[in-house]
Amino acid sequence: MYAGEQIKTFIPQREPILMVDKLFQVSDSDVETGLTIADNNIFVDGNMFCEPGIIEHIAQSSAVFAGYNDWINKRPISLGYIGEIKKFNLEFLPKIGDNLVSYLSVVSQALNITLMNATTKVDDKIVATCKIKIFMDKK
Amino acid sequence: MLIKDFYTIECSSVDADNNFNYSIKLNPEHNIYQGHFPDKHITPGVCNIQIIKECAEVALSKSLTLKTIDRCRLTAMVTPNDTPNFNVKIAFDKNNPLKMDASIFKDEVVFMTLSGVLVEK
Repeated sequence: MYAGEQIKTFIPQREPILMVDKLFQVSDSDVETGLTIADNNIFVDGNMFCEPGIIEHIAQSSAVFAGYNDWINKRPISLGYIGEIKKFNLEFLPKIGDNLVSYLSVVSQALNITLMNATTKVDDKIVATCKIKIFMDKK
Repeated sequence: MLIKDFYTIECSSVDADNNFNYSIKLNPEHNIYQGHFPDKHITPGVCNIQIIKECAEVALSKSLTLKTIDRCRLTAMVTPNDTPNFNVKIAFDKNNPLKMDASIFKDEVVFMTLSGVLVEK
């Protein structure tokens, strides 16, 4: 497992919009990441972690997947951009202190575009699901 | 506004087809760009989604949550220095006032399209 500052090895995003703080496991076809919602997170409103924060967490999880695979293959870490989000469904908004755990698996990969299925949970309860397409700007 | 001082709505209008239009001006000095990305400032796609949602809240005078996104396509990059001004257009479904088709564009360039359903908070 990688946590905290180590995550910066795999993605170019930095504070205040760093939305992954744990990498539990990763392979060439899936990834499991986490984020603990801090009270000063920029996507917190009142006590709740809002939709753009959840989507950014999912997008950065897919970037961690790509970045980790760049890293183990000794390639420079790419900038990743969201290309498309489909079938996003929000069940509930997490709150400050909640531990998000996201599981993403590759649906298809072609050149620099990766399509992944994503599920984000808190305490085994589904927060949100979606399909996300990430475009990697290869250096 | 979820992210303080991120943008301002400069003007708004409703056209003859009942589309809501907003002129947005980004704040290129916002500290979010220190992290996205340190060497290349690009407006996070999720912040554009949030701007659309907040425009929908203004349009409907309601506090809303984005419950589902059928499809959101990011077709061009928004950068706070090169494209700080853009337009948001929202069309609400005639049969479901919380279902919307929205886009972010400037002149001929479309940056984002989004179809989604909102729920009241």
